[in-house]
Amino acid sequence: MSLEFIVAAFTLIHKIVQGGAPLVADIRAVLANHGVEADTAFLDQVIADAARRQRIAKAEAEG
Amino acid sequence: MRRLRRILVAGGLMCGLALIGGCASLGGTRHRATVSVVTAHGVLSAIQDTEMLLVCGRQGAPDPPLCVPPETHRLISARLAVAFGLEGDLARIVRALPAGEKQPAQVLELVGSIATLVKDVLELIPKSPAKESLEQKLAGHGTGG
Repeated sequence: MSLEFIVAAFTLIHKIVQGGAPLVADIRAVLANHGVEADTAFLDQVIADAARRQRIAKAEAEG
Repeated sequence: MRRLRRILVAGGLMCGLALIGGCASLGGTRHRATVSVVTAHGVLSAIQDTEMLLVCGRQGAPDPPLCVPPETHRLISARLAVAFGLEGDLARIVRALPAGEKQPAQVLELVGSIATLVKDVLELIPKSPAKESLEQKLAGHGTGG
């Protein structure tokens, strides 16, 4: 996994974590440029962030 | 127009994620599914972040009736908690897909459930410039392009 991919992937995921909704084109560009190996990394990030946001949502629902 | 936009967002989410079952080209089913899952996560995240800023009484929130009442916020948050849980399940299923494998039927079921929750949440958020801006952003991005 190249350093360039790591930077691009984390920039994209950071945008999502910070509340941005990245363009589909952005996502495709990163994934297309770095091949299938990127899929697992992205999915892992989504799984982790979805769990984090679920905890936030549950806390807000109970508050 | 606003209702149409909400339908487009929810429909776009479903259609985009339904592309998961498309022909194997440029990376195959798993690769196409990953694009859709990541995009869907962006959609849900944008909705959650925007709605949190609109809760009545919170710093920066608009005045009533443009803000989200606390009781409605709790309801929205409960829906989002379910949606993020389903999204995590979807991502785990896609992650476990072997290369070249067809998508399991469960994928479309999860997609449908998430899209319904997105539609429900958007309908609960009161009309406001911030909500319109969110809907424009989500409709413009779509989920499958």
